[in-house]
Amino acid sequence: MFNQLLINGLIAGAIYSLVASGFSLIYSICKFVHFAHGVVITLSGYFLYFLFSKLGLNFWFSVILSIIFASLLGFLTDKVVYKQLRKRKASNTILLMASVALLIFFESLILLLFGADVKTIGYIKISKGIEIFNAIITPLQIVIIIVSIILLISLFLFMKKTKLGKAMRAVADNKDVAEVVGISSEKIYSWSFIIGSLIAGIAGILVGLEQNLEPTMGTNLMIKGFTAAIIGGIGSVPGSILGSFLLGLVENFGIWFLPSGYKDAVAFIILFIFLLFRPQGILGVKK
Amino acid sequence: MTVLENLEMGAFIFNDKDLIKNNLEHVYREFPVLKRKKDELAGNLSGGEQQMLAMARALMQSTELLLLDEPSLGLAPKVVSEIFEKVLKLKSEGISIIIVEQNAKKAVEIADRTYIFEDGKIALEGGKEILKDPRIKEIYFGGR
Repeated sequence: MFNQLLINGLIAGAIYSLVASGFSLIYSICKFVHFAHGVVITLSGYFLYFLFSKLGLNFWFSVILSIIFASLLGFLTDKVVYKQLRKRKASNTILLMASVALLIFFESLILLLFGADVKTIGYIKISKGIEIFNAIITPLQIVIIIVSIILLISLFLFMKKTKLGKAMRAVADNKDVAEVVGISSEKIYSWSFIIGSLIAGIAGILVGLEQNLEPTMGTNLMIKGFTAAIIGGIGSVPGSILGSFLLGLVENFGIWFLPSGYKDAVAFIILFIFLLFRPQGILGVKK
Repeated sequence: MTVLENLEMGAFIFNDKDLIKNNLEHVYREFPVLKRKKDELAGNLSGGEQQMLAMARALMQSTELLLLDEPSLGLAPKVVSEIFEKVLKLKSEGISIIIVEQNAKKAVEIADRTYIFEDGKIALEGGKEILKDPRIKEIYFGGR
């Protein structure tokens, strides 16, 4: 039982961390809450469904196109909506409202185009799980954990080692000083959306394969990702990853004591505890 | 970000790796303390060291004109002297420097030309003799 819950917790944590790291990256650089991040996840899953299951394209080709599509979508929401609002000196609250509006808009659009029923991508045949240490895990779940670890390490190295990554951290640290040395903050904002949405696109595909597609899947994941980001310390990418795994584990171990219907309740109780006693999160810095 | 990362970002506009390396070596020669602390977080440096890092970061751009806004602000007198020594040294290396500074005595001592502002307009200008001008007291203390 313990091992099974541990593995379930790690799988949930891996998925949350893909949502939370992209969200946190965008938040740390652009300093506003981009809730529409959740719908990028949903759209990427549906795009893969459309290309692979409807049009019958090659699976891997569809996957790559879906990831590019998600990246482009993030880039365009920034360029078309947020940038225009920033130009008009909109406050962060206005940007937050806009992001919620975008979330509802795209969710409704999916509902109109694809309907409310659950869609299956159907690439992976339902297979019996593999038994490791008395716990059952499917090959896809192993892939989810490995892909998320590889992505998070690459993101870490990218931010630490490359010139663009350093420039992104510079803007996150202090936008005005970054501009003084010649870094264009608008360009960096665009990059944060491209990279954050790329990770969201990959998350959408993995979740789509694991749990099937629903118009609200991204919104639900976004709420969890947001919770994880707050637990870990909002604006800190490593913190959001830590928060994600913590949230995944606590949620799943909670079922040991409580009926499984309380899974979400456990997540929000943790959120409230953190907001009350450590609002800056685990790795966050008190301001 | 670390001291080294700050300096690298100073040279963000350059793509020439050799040029960046040369500038970095030059800056390390000017400010040996930064070389010693290159892997420390810039936020953990002392006030004077942070001011030096800010100057060093500006110098990473093969600077010809350096603009300093109140470099002595919030620093201990000993550190202020160090900063002004650095400014003099950079001047001797052929970098033009414009300083906006409240510490009039120190600033005039090292400046070739001084301009005193009052309500956004130049009220007085001159060389080092400007400190002896009686009008300077009027402007500073509002003795009218």
